[in-house]
Amino acid sequence: MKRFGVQIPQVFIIVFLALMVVLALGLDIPMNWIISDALVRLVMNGVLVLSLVPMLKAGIGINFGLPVGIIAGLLGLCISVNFRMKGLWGLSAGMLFSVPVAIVLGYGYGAILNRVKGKEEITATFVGFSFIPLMNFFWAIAPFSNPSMLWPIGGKGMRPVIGLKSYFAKALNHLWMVEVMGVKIPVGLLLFFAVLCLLLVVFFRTNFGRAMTAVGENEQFARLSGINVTRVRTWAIILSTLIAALGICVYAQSYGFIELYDAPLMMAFPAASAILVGGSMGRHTHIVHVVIGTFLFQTTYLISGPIANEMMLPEVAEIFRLMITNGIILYALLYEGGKTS
Amino acid sequence: MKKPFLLSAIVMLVSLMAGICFAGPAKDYRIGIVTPTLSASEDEFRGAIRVAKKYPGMIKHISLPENYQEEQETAITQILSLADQADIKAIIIAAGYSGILPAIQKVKARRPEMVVITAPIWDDPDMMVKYIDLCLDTDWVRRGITIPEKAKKMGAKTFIHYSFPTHMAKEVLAKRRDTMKATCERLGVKFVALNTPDPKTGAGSTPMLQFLSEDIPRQIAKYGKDTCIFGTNCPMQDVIIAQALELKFIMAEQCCPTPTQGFPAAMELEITEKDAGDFDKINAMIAQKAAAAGCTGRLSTWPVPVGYFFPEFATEVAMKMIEGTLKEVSVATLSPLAKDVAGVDVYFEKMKPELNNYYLIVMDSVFY
Amino acid sequence: MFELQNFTGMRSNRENTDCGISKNMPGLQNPTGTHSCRESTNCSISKNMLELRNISKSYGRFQALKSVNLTISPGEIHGLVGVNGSGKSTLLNILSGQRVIRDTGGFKGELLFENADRKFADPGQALGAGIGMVHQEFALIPGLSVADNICLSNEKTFSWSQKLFGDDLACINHQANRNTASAILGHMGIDLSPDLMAGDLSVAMKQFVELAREFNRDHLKLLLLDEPTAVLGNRDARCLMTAVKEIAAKGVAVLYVSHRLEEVVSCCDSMTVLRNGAVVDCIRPKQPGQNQDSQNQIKTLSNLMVGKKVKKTRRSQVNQVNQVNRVNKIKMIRFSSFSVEKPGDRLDSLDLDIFQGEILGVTSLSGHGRTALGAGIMGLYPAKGAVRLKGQPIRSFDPLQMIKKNIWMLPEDRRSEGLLLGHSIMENMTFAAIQTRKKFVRKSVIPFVRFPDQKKCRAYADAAREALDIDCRSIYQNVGELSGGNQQKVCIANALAMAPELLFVNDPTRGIDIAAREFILSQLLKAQSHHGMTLVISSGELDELKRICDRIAVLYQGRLFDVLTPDQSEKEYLLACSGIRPEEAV
Repeated sequence: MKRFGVQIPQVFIIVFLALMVVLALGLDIPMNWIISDALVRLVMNGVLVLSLVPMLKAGIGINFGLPVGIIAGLLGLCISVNFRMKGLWGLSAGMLFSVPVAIVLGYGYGAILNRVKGKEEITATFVGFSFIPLMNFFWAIAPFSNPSMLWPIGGKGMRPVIGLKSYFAKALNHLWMVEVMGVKIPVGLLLFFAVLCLLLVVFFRTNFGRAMTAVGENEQFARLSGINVTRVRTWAIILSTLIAALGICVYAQSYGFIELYDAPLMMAFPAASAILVGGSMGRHTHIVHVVIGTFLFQTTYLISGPIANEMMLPEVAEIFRLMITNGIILYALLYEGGKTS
Repeated sequence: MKKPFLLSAIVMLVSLMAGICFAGPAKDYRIGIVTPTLSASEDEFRGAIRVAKKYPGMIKHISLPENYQEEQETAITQILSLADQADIKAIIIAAGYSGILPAIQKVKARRPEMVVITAPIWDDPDMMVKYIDLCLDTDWVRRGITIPEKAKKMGAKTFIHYSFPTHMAKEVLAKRRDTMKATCERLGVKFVALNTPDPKTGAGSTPMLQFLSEDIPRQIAKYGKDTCIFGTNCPMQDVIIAQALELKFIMAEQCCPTPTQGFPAAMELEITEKDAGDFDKINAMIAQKAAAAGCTGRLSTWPVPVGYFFPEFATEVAMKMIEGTLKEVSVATLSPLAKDVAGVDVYFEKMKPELNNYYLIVMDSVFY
Repeated sequence: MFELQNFTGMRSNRENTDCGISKNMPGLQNPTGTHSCRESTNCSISKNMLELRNISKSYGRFQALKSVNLTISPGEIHGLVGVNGSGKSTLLNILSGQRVIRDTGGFKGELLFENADRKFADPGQALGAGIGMVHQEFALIPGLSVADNICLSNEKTFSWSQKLFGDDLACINHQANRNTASAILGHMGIDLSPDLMAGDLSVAMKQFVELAREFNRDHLKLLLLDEPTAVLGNRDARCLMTAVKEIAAKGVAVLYVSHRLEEVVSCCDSMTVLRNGAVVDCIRPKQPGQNQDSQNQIKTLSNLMVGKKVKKTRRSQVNQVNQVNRVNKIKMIRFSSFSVEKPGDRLDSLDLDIFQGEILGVTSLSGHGRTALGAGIMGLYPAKGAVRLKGQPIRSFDPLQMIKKNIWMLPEDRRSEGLLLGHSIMENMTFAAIQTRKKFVRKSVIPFVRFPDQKKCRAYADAAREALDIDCRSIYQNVGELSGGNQQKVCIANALAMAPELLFVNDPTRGIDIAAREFILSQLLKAQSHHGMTLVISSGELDELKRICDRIAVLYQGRLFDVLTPDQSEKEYLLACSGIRPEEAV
């Protein structure tokens, strides 16, 4: 366990979660619903969290420019909806369409980040923030033709929210759904996530993946060993962007809507929180951190709502929960800082 | 350095002259309409554009900054710039924001004859009536009575009210919830108030919507499908209506009652460019989709979006005021005008008995 | 007095503890009869500047210090020696109040400073009490002038402004500070303008400025020196030691930590040897610095430090034959007007031929360009000039290009350039070979996806561990946990896996204890003789270079001054390093 860095924040959130589970049982909140939703949430946010890993490993820091990748994914999904592709095929097509977009955007994003070595996180934040208005302009004039994506009044430009019900909403969620004792287990969804995690683990065992880790840990060493550092970093950023694009595809199909315009603006922060809660310490990031972090973080969110409503003190619960999640992030950041200095 | 300056001066002069020469249509004044941007609030924006088409050359349409909360100064400057143009005789502000009143006070100080109509802004009503010629708003509190009544009529046995702390801290919204609760008790409907994650704090509306899509099935499983669900926040409506199609519960009205909120996304309405803005057609499409999903009689809203209705209605009122044909605003003088514009009955009521120029409206409903 | 007692650290440790308890029974001391320095000091407690009693410190499960006792009296220079990882740095951290001590749970035992029990929570407190420290890595502010750095937090101010605004906001009297700084520097025998920016100084000068700053403190009572001469050449080191002796003469107690036993023996009044966190012995020579004694003392010290005898590596006669053959040999690489802009260590228009199979030493004082050659070739710093490798011109200086041409470099700074500290020994040993040589790589059916061959990696790492005698739990242990010497061995294994024809080695023995030093030198020799590598070793350790090199190039102010043979006298080398021709010296 020590290898994965189980620290006070994890212990704390686990205790908090356990407390809430006990409370939920006491308040007769149906646990089978909670567990089903927790599994779905794990994957729908997990892929986005997973996308932080390549950049973290390559020493570029937390990808606060996650919106770049998300926009690539949204564009892919929109193309798929525009062609009225349905079901799993529609979703796969959306993912496929988003790949080239993600590679192109990731390359540009990488070029920017490689120019500001040492200040990547703050730059990434601003790239994310400034990319959104640019895309808002694009969405408003995007030449899509499927009327179900366009503004209901005026008939031009994209809607902020596009329903996917007749296309591929929950296509992956419902794939091989198994019900065990009232708990719906989305086997297809979980398998998808597992395969993605596995692919990433395998990737970091290849020569190139090792080079990426080396660049993250000691750039000078990597350079001396004959590695083209800029190229490796660019690929790490492209990979992050690509996984983020896939992540939003999974997210959107599970959510049932494509959210455009300002929706991706703040998406980087819960993902960053989740991976920090999971115990990631900068370069020392493991896939396990992603899974644990996402599960703990999202389940806390998931379970606290119904409990707060049952206990009739919603305001208090809301404040308490925010304090705990943000406090843990602060602790994680502080602890990370203390470790390196 | 000098030449471009001179050139631009000439260009400006020429364009000004041209403006004076050619911009004078049938009537020799203009009306300024202030709305949020397209992505912030579609209805008001489109409503303003519609008026501009109806009275070409007479409407000066400006939109407020995208994130109004952070750029209030810009908003005030924009409104003041309208007052600086002599040919603008009326300003209509359809924004749904608070903090705009100071701008209006300045406008009135500079141009006391300027007609100002708000539809709506949310500042202190007692202050507003002193400076504003006509304040219009939706009757949020009375909807606390009309919505549960409508829900009861549609067959609801339970009424669920989704909101979150920052909304419940607003007086109007809290009052409406209390009114809803009282009305439900009177009607014998079970009232349930539930809280969602707060979209105004933390990570935006995503967690709230995710919570809703998980919580609604739970609640319907608990209370049965004869339940009416009402959410106080606009983004909630997409999820609520989408769930209503699936779970067949009742959605009596959205927070902002209009066919264009929630329905298009949840029902994936395909509105062609030709039909855009044609509410009869949109309503028919919704009814058809509702029938296909087996939800006939379970969904309802107002036939025309209030935001779309207000700019046009306010413009008509402003024109009549400038031309002197409308001397005094009252329920009697406003109702016929409103019916002309909306096509359905619109009920006016004074906000407070002592305030003579602050009116609240409720519209007739359409059932799908 | 210096007969080697064959006792272990643990035993002496226990004895010390006993004595600490039964302070009033001096008769019980030294049951083994060893001459412990505590004997003399115990009787005169009141005179001690610093006394440590049973200091223990552990980091988690690892015990860094075990019941350490130590006393220093005013005006005494006390040497502290020990191999890497023996606890020297931990002891210094405790004395100077570094936060890391408190953050990791504090220490046990008594720290008596001027007879008062103290526990310093942060460096400021230690400083306030009169303990100054010169760090191994420099704590200077690069953007301030030398004078400002020397007078930092001890500035002279205009008295009127002090009265008016208080101490913190008083106006600084720059002229007075300059005068103070130049007086101190002059006193130390350093010719340095106080107006230069600290960031522009060479490493050696930085060390002096750091020392000058401590000297400038008004109430300095105890001075801690952590490897002050590690980055200095012999001449600079001697200069520094003179300065230290002078300050000690004023009644300041000095704790002197160094790897260079010669220095310790020549300048210290007493010496404490640490091994594995415990005091092994405490030596107090009667007449410090006497020549006939010092060789013996060094031997004694080194034996005590490692607990075993050290054999000095020397080139065998067979290899020396190379020297004779050199004339007929092929030129491996030829530099003509080769310049490298390495900050603080520039190399200026070098013209030099290196022959195949030879070992060339490159030496200079610090900051005179000895580490720039390899770094420039590998493209770490901008380099220009013509380089011909076996007659072929090299156009761009870039690590990958050089690796393709079978050139490799072992950087001087292992931790920041030579190793992946968070990775296993095995991965470090095989990393470069996997990445650029496609060695230890499994065949793959999928294009662009290649996996390291774990079996081959393991086999290589095991063999290298055996051959290089790396002290570790397993080859999966993180390199960061190893001592400096073992880390260097891992670097060498990584280089051997690359099998280069030309290997640049920068400061191979820097910060490494004597036992490992000799082993590393012998391994470098082996690389040359067994694998036929050409070696270019840059180092400030003249003695080591003389023992293993065929020729030694001496640089002065970034230019090649002379190429000497190993059998030339120490004096000739020292003159060359200082830029003086023998004929001028006469």
